Amino acid sequence: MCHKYPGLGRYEIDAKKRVVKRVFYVNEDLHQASYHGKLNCSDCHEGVDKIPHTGAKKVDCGKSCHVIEPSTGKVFSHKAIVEDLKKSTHGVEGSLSKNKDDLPACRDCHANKPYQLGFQGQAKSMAFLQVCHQCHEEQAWAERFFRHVTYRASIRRPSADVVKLCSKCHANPGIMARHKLDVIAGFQDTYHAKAIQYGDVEVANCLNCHAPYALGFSPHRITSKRNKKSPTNADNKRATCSQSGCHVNATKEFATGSKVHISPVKVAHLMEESEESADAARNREIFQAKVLHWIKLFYQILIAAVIGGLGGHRLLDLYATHRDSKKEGALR
Amino acid sequence: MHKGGIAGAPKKFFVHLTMAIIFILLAAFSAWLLWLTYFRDASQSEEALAKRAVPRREMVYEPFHGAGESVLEGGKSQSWCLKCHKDYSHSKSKEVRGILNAHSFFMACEVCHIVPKEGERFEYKWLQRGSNLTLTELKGKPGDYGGTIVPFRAEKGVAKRLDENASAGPLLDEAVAANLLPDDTGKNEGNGDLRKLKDRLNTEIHKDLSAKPVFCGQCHKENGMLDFTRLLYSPERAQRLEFGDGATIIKQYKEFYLPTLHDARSHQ
Amino acid sequence: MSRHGKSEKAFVRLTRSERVQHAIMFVSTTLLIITGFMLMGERSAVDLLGAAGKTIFYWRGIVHRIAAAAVTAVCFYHLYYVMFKADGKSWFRDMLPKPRDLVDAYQNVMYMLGLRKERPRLDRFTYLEKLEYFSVYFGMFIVISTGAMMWTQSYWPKFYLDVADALHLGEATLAALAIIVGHIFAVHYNPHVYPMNRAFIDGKISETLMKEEHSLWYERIIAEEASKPANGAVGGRGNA
Repeated sequence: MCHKYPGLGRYEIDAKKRVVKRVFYVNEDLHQASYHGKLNCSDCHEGVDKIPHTGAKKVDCGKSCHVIEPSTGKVFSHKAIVEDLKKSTHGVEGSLSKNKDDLPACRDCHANKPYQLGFQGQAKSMAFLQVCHQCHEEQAWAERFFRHVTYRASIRRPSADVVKLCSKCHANPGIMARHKLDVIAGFQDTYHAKAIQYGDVEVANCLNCHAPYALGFSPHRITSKRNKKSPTNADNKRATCSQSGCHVNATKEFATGSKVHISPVKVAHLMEESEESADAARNREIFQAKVLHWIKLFYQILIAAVIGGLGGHRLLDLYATHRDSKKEGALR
Repeated sequence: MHKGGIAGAPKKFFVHLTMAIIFILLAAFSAWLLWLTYFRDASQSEEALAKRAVPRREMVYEPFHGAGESVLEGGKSQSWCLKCHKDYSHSKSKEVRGILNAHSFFMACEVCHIVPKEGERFEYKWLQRGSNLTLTELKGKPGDYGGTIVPFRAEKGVAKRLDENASAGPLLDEAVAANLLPDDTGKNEGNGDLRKLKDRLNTEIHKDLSAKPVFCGQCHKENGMLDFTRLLYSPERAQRLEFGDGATIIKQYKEFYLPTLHDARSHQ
Repeated sequence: MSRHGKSEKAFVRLTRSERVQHAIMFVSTTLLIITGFMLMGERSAVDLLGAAGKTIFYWRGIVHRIAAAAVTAVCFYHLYYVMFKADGKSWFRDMLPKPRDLVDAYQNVMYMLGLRKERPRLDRFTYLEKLEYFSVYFGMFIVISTGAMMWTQSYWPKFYLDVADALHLGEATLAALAIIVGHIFAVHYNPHVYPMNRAFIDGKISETLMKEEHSLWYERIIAEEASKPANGAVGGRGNA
């Protein structure tokens, strides 16, 4: 009734004291076409039975729905995933950080999107859908099921979106500092990031290395590299890099030689440290940062000298030629 | 070239032009390379990163149920008010701020915040969002016809908008030029002149505001303040607005809605 | 386009082989610079490519590798050329830096500053040309070796690749700027040859330009021709 009005919304201060824009608009068409299109408002939003919604409870994605999960016949629930997340490095139980304030909830990464395919995929599937209708009488059901399968089978989130999503927190120096983590900023200098920027879909994004499905991980079970089982743990990195379609010949040295996306900010901090700190790994990082810095500095100086010298010489030559032609002219 | 070639003048001009274009391209490329070598790193310092991080006010979730760009941008009545108050500007009355914002999505602030005086009648028009052309029919869905209701007051035969008051105009321009609005980061806080400018602007721009804004029931009733059919609504829709959803909800809200008196000067 | 008239005597500046080497080098270096610096492209510029970006990026890598292979082949051929071919040997001998080059440089700078009456008289290759030529040896060594490492990246420790990447980028930047500020200026925008020095097409240099820029070499050739009247053809290689 009210939620069809696009302007329905407000700014509010959330539990973390952030100003958050809340949009309460629900586009009915989008909702119908979405993952949760079959559900009613009150299936997720409990306690909204009166206006104004004074008794509304927070949505719990882990609750059981009225939907039946067809493979088991049990009621459907996201509970297993919610539990996974809890134990992951992003969850209250799994997080290694003392500060549990900024941990992401379902909503931080997921929205109730419509099943969308590219135009071509859509056109093809709509024709193919007629095949489904031959047996499955309930047309809306068949369409939703078909869209679900075709959509899940394709790449769900473009790499650029994954990077953007993770960057919401991992590129924010404030949040990262609270958890003693390095900002992700170094990623944009990697070849992976550049390929993503050009729209390459084959190249690795955050999840392909930090939670590769191919190696039995999932974004909801993402772990710190300090976890022995983590795909980014030094012992497992070779397997991660050499996933099929990636660096299949990767040696251990290739995978562990240095940080994949060290941030320039961290490099700057490393440069200030002396190499006498006790930790060998830290010393190696400092050494590596310094070597790369020297190469850069070497070329900065060389380019200034060569291009400055060459340019100066050329300009001087122009001046001399100009002077001569004037002299020549005067003699004539 | 002091001896001149056999080539004619047009050909010569073409050669010079080509050489000049190539020269400019090469010079631009060289400049970019130099920037790359010496200055790009500065864009990755800790401060630069912090600046690029999502600013607090813009900490916006992707609406779970999906919404278009126009919804996220909020209302666009091009009203002066929005230069400071921005979108979703109602925030005081917790119970009704949402529904008020739903209205300000398609209504200029002055519809409610400048109440016509005794015997005075404003003319209300739909202005197309963005272009400000007058709409002649309503297309789309309730709440999103792509336009905004804007009141006009007849002054010496000319229809004038109510938000644009002459004495505040230059002050507003000055404030915009001084970067005081809309994202006042507080860096001007110590600047006495700017502080004064802001205070004067506050007084001037809010002087026409009515102390008590128009309340829901003044429109959502039979023969209310707004003539819904004149505002291009279909007769059925107008009927609903007078007696239907709107009116029903108002009854439910009335019980607890105790609006804070609208004091213009306390608003900033 | 010669400003010195058609009937003028011309000398051979670049042999056919040298011109082919130059052409391959020119085309592939241009491609390498474009496809290479695409990786450093500004985000906003890349975004303009839209959906085409993916295909462009795919070909970028392939073109870069083909051009790299071509330029490497030319470099190795050139080494063979200067070691075993008569023209190449004389080229390399004339190219070797001599103490005289320092004197030339000093005298030329003094002249340009107006502190000396005449330009120094230069031989077949000027001091700047020699500097440019040997810079290419240094540059090619860096980019070819680091490029080869990155091409076979899986077999190298990641840190070595980081070093290779930094060197490759630094050298490429230096080379691109040197080509623009040094070489392109000298053969296109220098008033002596504007709009272009045609030697890279026909391999010839005019008598006037010879006298202006390579007077020592010019005298060497004239003297040589005089001592060998039987050899009527114009355009000695200056191989004294």
